[in-house]
Amino acid sequence: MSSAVNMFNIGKSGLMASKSAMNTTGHNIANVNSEGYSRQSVETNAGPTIPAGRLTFGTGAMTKSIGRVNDEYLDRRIHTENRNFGNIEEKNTYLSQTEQIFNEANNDGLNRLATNFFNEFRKLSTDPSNEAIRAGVREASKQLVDDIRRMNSALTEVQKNIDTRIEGYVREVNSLSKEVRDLNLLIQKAEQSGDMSPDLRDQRDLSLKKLGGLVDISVSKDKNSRVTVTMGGQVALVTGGELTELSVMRTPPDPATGKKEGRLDIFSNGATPEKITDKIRMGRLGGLLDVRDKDITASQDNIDEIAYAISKNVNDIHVQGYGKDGGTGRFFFKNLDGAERASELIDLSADVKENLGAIAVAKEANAPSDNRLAIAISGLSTMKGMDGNDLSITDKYNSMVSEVAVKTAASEKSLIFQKDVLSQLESTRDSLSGVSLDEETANLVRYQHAYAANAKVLSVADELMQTVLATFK
Amino acid sequence: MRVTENSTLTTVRDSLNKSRLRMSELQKQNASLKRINAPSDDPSGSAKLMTIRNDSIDNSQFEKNSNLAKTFLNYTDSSLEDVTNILVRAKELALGQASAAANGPSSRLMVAEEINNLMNELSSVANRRLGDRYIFSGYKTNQQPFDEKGRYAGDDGKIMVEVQKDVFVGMNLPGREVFLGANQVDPTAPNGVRGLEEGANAVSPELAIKQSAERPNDDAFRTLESLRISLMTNDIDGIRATLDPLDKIRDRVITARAQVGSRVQGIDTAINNMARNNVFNAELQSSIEDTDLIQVVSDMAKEETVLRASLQASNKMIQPTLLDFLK
Repeated sequence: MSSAVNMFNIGKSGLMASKSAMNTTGHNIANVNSEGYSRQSVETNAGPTIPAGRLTFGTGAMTKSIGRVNDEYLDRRIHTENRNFGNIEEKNTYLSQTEQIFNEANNDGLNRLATNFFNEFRKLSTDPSNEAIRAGVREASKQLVDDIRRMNSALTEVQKNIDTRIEGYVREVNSLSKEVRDLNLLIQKAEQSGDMSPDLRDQRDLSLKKLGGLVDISVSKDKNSRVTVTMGGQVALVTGGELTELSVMRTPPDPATGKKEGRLDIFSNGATPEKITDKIRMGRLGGLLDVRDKDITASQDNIDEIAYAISKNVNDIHVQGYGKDGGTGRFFFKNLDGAERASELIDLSADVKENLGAIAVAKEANAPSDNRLAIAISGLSTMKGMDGNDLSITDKYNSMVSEVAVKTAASEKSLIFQKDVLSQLESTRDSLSGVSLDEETANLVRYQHAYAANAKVLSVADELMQTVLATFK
Repeated sequence: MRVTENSTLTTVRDSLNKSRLRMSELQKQNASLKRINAPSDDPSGSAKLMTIRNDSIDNSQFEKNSNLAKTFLNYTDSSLEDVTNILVRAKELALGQASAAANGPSSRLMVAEEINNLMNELSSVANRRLGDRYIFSGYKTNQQPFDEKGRYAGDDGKIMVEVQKDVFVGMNLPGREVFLGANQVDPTAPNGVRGLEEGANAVSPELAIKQSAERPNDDAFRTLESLRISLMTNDIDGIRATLDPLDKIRDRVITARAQVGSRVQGIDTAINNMARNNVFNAELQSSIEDTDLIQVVSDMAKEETVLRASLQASNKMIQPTLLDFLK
């Protein structure tokens, strides 16, 4: 039956529907700049009908649901690309730092110093007993040694910086995992009634996106809308309501074997703690580990090899020679046992440090112009004695610099490319899920008009009631 | 497709960023006038640059070596010229006194005095120094090579100097082979030092000084000494006996001078090669690392236009929203 009372109800339902639509619009506008926010939309439908004889009357509008507009496939792709982007960005940052250590753009690096070193011996060969030239040889050698040591400590410094960053990221992984776990529980509780809770899901998606930028994660949903997050396909971070944290630890230095402090390793604190450093390959964390354990370690090994080759080859010749003071059997560089830590330990021998006359370039005693060993030492600059006798010492160094340069250049290019891919995807996501102020403003006006019209319905219903009531006066 | 304010702003931000990045890259090139400011700007180019720079450091040292060796050799050459003159004069005197008819014993005594002077002269030439180094004492340059009796105290050391990559030139002549006619040390024999075997003596093939069977007769000091004694004792046969050795010695010294000359020539060739190499390297280096200024400046002008245009467009894009028109 259609009555004025029913009309009141219809007007009221319309007002409610418009109000909740305006609410949602307001919520959208308020979150126009919230990261990871998906715009929400209100779905209304007609209320139940009341049959009255052969007619059926409507009972107004109902707010059916408040949904969020998003595309899970797109979100997943953004996660992936975001992870790649983070990976490359970290690599690029530290590769260019490594590149700067070699300092070769202005030719101030080891390349010049090593060449100078050999040329000082070449100069010494023209006048082996000249004190000034001997002093020049020692000075050039000192510069060479200093630069090798500088590179070693600079590379170690970069590794330490990376370690600090790794520690920070591991903390971030833990706190993000915890957020996801907490949101899992909240969502489970909130959605027990069957309604979606869009804002909680947005928050969880955002946390997952951030987590996915740091490490390689795979995400699956269980029937309670909780997500399970696994890292690298093997290490569980969040399983529904359970959380597995990560921790970092450094192998302490071993004074017995002379091994220096080891790298920072990552452990999973599950039921059985496990070292997972090598399982992390992607994301920012993977990028850091990659640069630290592959590129910088390789550079350091190369520098060690170069330092060892220089000191060993020069010593092998020098030890045969006679100094200006007549002594023989002395080393030029401090004797090293092997390539390990050579770039840290390389130094001039105590003899040469204290006494210019100890520089031994004569093959025979008491022959001040005997320069044969000086020639032999300067000849080391072109002797192909490294990498299976394919490369000279400077070749080896130059090829190492090129390798880092090629990697840095490649990471720069892919960084730009990856950024483009990511912003393309972000803009696609934005066009679907982002808040458009124009659209929201138009909606606001629309719902405002609807609200006014519904209010008018109420006022007409009121007038009708007044009219009816007035007849009973 | 919906376009939201945020995506508009992101687009504006990204394109401005990109444009500014390109601008800063170009400005860096323009300021340094270098195309390569870090190895990663052109990895293969900068690898090449590093070897070129090594080459030019090496070359400047080779240049110094060459000049020093040349000084040493030129001084040796002029000393050998003096030796030749002494020998020519001695031969002249000996010839003049070689026949009994021409002169008497008293004039021979006077000539003997002159030979004595020539001997002193010879010994002073043989003991010449360049700086503080005796030029004829082999490796033992701190040791006076000849004593007053003409005994040799030096060694047979050849001071080899690298004048071009892997090209070595001996910058001295050991006094024994010049003045005493001793056997020359075989220049091709390995000297037992690693890294030195290869390439030594590549320039100026050594002109072997002929080995002499009668060594004492080839000894400049002894020959003059025996000439002097023969003159003083009026021993005409003795005087005649020195004529042939004097010729031999003079020939040997002339051969030695030729050897020095050919070494100097070798060094000059090396210097010329190096000069050519330097020019070539400089050209190559410039083509690898220098900016093409015209290109950069025109690129910058282009980029500036792009930047201005996108700033202007952004100005139009960012301003209006529906709210501006609802009032």
